[in-house]
Amino acid sequence: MDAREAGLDICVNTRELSPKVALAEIQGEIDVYTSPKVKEGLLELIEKGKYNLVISLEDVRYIDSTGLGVLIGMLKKVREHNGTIGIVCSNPQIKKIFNITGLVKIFGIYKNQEEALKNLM
Amino acid sequence: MSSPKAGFSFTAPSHPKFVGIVRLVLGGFLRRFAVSQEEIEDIKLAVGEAWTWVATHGRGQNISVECKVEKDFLQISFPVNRDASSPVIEERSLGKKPGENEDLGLLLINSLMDKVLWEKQMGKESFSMKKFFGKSSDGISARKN
Repeated sequence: MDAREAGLDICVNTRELSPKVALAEIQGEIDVYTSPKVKEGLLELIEKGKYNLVISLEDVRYIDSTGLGVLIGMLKKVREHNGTIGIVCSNPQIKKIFNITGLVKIFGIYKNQEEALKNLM
Repeated sequence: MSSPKAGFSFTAPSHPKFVGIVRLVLGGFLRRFAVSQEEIEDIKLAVGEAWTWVATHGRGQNISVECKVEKDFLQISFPVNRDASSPVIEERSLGKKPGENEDLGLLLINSLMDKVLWEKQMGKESFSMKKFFGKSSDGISARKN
């Protein structure tokens, strides 16, 4: 049973962008209920040894503090292995949340996957 | 005291899976008024954060939300049946720097809403937030954007 069948409005698709960089495309709303599913998807990548991640929030309509907490936790984990995370986001509402919380200074925020990949290589 | 222009209240189970429903109901209600989409998204996020806080620290299986729309502002209140051991959102904690998720949540509420109050009246506690219409969270008129 996938997340949507379980009543969770969230989906995390992952694939390799290059031998060193993996992409996680998140779709849906990230809140206190759905963030464990996002955490699970991202942890799976890290456990496979992918320490440079591009996380696409292009299809994310909503993110709250628990979702931001998951992203911060994942950043801490990849940094232990000298990795990093680039966020792809063009939604002004989501970008505003990164600005308010100051996370725009911690994560690289990029317009598209290509720009993120270029900066992570 | 004048009566609100419009208002509604509802109660939902405090389980995290209902936070999305709360946002949906609130968004639908606010769309009936001259509220910009940016303001609606701000309010939905602040209410979602408040709901999460009350669900985490409150007691009881249900959470009530009271929403009233006045001429130029919206007020949303959460009556809280709090555990004695649970923290109170005091004014000093609203200004804390972000660290844990909870601090981020309070920071977002404080930034997106114009007034955040913890009230104690007649032995009952409530957490309430006000948003004045026509102002975006950075203080610039949203409708001019």
